[in-house]
Amino acid sequence: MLSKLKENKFFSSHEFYMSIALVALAIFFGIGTDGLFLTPSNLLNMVISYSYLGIMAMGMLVVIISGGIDISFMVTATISQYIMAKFMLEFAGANLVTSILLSVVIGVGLGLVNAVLVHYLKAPTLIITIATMSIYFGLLMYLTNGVRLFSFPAWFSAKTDAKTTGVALGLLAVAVVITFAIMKFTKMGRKIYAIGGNIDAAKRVGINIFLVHLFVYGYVGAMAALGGVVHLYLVQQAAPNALYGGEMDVIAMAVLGGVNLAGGKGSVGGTLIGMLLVATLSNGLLLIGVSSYWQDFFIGAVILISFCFSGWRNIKNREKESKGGKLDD
Amino acid sequence: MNQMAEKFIELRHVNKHYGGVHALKDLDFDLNVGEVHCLVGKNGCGKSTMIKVISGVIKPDEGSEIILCGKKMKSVSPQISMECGVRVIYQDLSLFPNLTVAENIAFNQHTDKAYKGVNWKRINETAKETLDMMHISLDLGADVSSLSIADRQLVAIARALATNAKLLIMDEPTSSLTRKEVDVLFTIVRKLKAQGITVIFVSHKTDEILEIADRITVVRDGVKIATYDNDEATNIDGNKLAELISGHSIEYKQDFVEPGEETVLEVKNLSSGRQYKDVSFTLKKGEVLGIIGLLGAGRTELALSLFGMNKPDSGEIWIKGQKVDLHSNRDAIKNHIAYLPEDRLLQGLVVDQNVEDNMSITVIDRIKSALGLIDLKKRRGMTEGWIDRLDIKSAKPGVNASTMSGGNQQKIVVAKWLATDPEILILDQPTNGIDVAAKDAIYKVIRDLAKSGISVIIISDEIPEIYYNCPRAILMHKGRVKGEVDCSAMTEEEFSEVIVNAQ
Repeated sequence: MLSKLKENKFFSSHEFYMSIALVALAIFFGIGTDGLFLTPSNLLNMVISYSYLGIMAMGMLVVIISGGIDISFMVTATISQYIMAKFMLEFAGANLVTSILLSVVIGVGLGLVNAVLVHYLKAPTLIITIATMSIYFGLLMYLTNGVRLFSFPAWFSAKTDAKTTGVALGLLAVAVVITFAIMKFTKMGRKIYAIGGNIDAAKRVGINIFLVHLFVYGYVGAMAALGGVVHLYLVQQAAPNALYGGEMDVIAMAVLGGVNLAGGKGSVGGTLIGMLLVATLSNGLLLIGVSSYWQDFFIGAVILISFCFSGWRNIKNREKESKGGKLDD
Repeated sequence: MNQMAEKFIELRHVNKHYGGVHALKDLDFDLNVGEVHCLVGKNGCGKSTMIKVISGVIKPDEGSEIILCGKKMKSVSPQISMECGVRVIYQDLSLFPNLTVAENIAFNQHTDKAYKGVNWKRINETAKETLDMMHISLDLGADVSSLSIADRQLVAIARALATNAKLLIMDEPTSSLTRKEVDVLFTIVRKLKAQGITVIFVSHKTDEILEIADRITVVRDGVKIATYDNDEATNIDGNKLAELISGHSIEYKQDFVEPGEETVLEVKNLSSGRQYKDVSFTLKKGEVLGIIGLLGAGRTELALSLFGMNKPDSGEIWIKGQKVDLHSNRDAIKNHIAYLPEDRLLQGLVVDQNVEDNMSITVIDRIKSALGLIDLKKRRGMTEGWIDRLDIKSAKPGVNASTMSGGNQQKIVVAKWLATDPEILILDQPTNGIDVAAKDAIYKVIRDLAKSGISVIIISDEIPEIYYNCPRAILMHKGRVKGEVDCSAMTEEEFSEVIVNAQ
């Protein structure tokens, strides 16, 4: 029975071990905070305040599966958020739909710029997106002088608990479902996996790599913008430097969720677990009174441990495959 | 009789120049529908160019004529080639390792506009039907990365068949297969043939060619030497084929170097899990020792243990009368052991670097100047010395290793390890995937090395390779040593019989 369980794909998956780690951490923090961590209101608030990062992680997942990475997405989110804020403040006719649409269109546009650069410069995506990140951020600070925008129209600023929950969790759910559907049930999604797995083979079977790149980087831009919308709604002010620096949290979510940085592997479910892990760590540490400076330390430590663990499992599996057992006499 | 057969494709007066190189010279070639046609020749003889002409990847020169699908044309476009059912299975297989068997086989459903959306049920059905047609079964849900090379090969064939292939072009499909896997492959090839599918088969292994081919075309230096029917009447054999391929007669004869007295290596009861067990043997100075066994006999695992990369569970390794513990390949190199891996591209060669970088990487510490930086002059001198000693034609220190032929790449890897000044050189399948002429050159290098006092272990599953180069050979089967053979005391037939009996 046990051996049968072990053979089941799910029980040997990275996602399975990460969910165990998540549950263990939650129990640990539950005990450490006399149950405060595990109260429904705390858990709900925690998920809400990390929802925008979770939305962005969906975009990150897609780009990493394609074999690339995007560092510029936080700045993309900031720019589209800032323009959306300006739009809401200056145009009396603005409403929720047009504002979100504007934000997403800008996010996609900035993503497409990355795609074109990635495709024509043939340089590592890490370098290209670090460059565009710096360029966009520099321009943004210059043009805005770092001025914050707030006092949005009532239709955006009047918050109730129900509305907040709806917007944050609703948009997170939309991002999760759409990303899952694209990656599992569309040709584009399968092509993204294919180029992440073997780009030369992908070219040989006639996949238009440029189109896939346009989609992938456009999609990261869209998810970044959508995350930016949720963030703006939660904090009710657009500051050019509020999001900048949060890139690593999002990448950590994807990595903890088991995406392969070399491309070709990764799941929506895993990334969701990764998001909950990061959220649980930060929130739990805060509640038991650990200084926020230590949060990055622990997130880093968890990433290292998870990498060591999956690396160790791979080595053991390989050893078992090649060496396990003994020769009979 | 073949004049009457229906032709799949005909090439007439096909020429191709690459810059100044005349790669195909007025070449005529025809392919009967439903035959297995082997294409043989040295690396760089023009086989690959022919395949590229047929699959439409390159255009031949003006004046060439090709008849495909009953249509006469000056050149084939990739689209026409696809429509006529030409499918190339590249040596690297071009699969997606991260996707499942089913998705790989039915991948064209993602790229062909005739299929709407992603239908997993349809993908699985197509994959299953295709594998059924080949009379094999594979786990449809397994990732391709978890399959053996042989199974990956089957997936690549299935993928071609799933898109209605009429001509399968297989480029050296057997170079990393065990004999058993080759048998499975050949069974499938014969079944496909029975279903009317035409196959072009490229290989360097003459015994396999003679086993599977209906007709054999030999190409040398861009010229078609001849096409032979592979039947009794033609009476073509391995030696004749080797001669045709290389252009001069290659007569194998035993030419052994007398080993010295000193025992340089002694292995005592070495065991490692279920890889191998109770292996004992000795190696003399300047001896060429053969270890013969099929893939999976434990021979590569044993070699890796001797090179410090696969820790044995028990047993001892003695070098020159001293017991050694080899914890890493650095320990092995310190003990003057060098290992030339089976897969030179994966493990032996940095293909994107030039000849000089490749040759000097193992001895980077020894070519330092007083400042601790690399002494470029010393390095150049060393590289040119090796190019000269191993007679690596067309090699200049600055040439990128990826542009060189298989035989020359193999020599570069040899040079890289010889630079470490080894006393024991382990060669794992040293001539895998290289043509007969280059093989001969490698054998000559091995003899010269033995003469200079280096002890050599040759690991191989090719009977002639061991018989003609090793005075003494150890037979391995399923992780066990099945016996020791004195090759000089028997004929090749007797030797081959001993080996078959041991398995």
